[in-house]
Amino acid sequence: MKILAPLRCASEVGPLLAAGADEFYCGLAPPGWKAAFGAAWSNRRHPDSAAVLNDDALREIVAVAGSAPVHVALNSPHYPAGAVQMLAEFGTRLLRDMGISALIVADMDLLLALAEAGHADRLHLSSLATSTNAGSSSFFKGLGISRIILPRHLTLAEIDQCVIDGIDFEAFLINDGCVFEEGLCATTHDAGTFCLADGDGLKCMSPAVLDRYDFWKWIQNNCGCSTSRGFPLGPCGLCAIPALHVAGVTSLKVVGREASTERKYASVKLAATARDIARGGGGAESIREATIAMRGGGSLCHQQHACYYPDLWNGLTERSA
Amino acid sequence: MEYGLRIATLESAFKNPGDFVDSEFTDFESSELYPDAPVTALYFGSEFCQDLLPGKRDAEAFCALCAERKLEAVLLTPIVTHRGLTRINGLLESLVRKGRSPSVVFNDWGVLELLRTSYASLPLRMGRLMNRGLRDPRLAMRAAAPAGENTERGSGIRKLAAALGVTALESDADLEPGYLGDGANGLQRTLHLPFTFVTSGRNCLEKAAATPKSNEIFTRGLKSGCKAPCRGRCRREFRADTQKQMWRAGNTLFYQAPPQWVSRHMALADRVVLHERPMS
Repeated sequence: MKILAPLRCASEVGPLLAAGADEFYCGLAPPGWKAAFGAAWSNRRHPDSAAVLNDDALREIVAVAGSAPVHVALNSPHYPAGAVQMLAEFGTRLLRDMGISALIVADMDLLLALAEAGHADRLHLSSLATSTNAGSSSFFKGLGISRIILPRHLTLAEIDQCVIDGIDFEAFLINDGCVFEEGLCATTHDAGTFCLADGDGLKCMSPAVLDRYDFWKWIQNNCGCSTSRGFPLGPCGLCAIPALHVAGVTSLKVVGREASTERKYASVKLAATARDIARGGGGAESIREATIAMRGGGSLCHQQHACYYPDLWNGLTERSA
Repeated sequence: MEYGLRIATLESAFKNPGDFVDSEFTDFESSELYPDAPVTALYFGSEFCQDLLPGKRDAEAFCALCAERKLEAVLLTPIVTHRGLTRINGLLESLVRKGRSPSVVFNDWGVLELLRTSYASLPLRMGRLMNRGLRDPRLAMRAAAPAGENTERGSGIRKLAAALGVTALESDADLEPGYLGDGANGLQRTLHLPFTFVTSGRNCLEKAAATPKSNEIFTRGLKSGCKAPCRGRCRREFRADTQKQMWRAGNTLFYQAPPQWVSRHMALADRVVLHERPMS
């Protein structure tokens, strides 16, 4: 299984490869994007805090990455009128001239334009497209898409039911949760993170439930901190790697393009450690022990507060461990 | 122009569009926005939660009522997991066996695959969740271009829909009118009013509030089913960052689309589906 790492610049490639990354993803807006479309984002993360600087910076990343594939996210869930044509031309240039392995796409108009241009087999369906069952997998396989990135809020059993032959699957592994279903959230972080205030003005609901909701939202937001050892403390599916492998998932996403290099390194190191234990035949319990020893945060883990895939704990999917 | 009614109970099938427009859930005199037009369809089902899909008996009763009233029966379906897809399959199998042929609104490509492979005779309608346009209640609507609404957005998905045999494209009042297009693809352009959805998800507060064990809520609750305690009700929602009237219905947040949004969107619609109240 491959560890997919986020990055923003070429200087991050070396440390992330050393930490265990196998492939990379990043974001970049086409030249002239801001002049044409103002504050609209060309991908899901804020261009100022998460994107690669420019074409030259991307070329440098690809050169340093060598044989490690680099994917570019063009995965905003919607685009203003006129943007799809610009992005389709840009995407074509990225694939044809700049050594990019694949494009991560969510918007159907863009996906169809790129498929029509002959690039379907180098498209990864973003988690924002919310593909959550085998019928949907089949539909996108039929369009020629090469990989489906599964949304966050699926159980391991449901992931198992999404996977079909003939197309790759990627799953979330660590960092940055979402309160709502990301693909169905029609708000923009550009106006502030909508979900963080969700429930605050809700009347007639038990304060105890709202307290737990606040606690859970805090975890989705990486607890607003890292551990004393410098590791991120947020949503995590590390011990699910053996089960994800059995399900047929081939790529594991480390989230956080906008994070510091140190945080990315720590996240990839954790992910690769867990993956290597799984490769050696270790199960969920061994991975938990090893990653808690590295990261800390044992109580958050043992109480299952930070789990991407909490069904791992009740024996439903322990068959792979 | 024609109307569809998204009803909460079978009894509401006998109401008029005007009853839906001026109700406890709307706060403006908006009847002038809505021209007189016939009601041609009744909508039921769920767009946002697979646990809210109707049972076979309820669905059959709904289709029977529509047949009796000579109205199109339209079954709304949400994004689904394997379990939801299986449930939809069972529901459709039962309806078809009894000679019913409702139109089906799909919001999931897997549901479309199911319909095309197993229920090819049922009319297909592409649901409003396929339009991923912005609906942020904190933002203003995008200004119209001098030449009118830009119908370029959605052109690819409309072309695909037409090629796949879809008969209609649905949306609600998002921030940029135009997704429904100019009608050139032959798809019926359908607009859901007056409630625009904001966001939705599986980590449902209503489900959490009804769960006795605190360790079975939010992400940990994904693996457990839900008895749909939200069915039949919605809650008023108040936020400091928007003046819009908001509601929470099950796992989804909605707001009332302002009148100026309604009029711009309605200019592009062949059918308006009026919702009795916010419903997931």
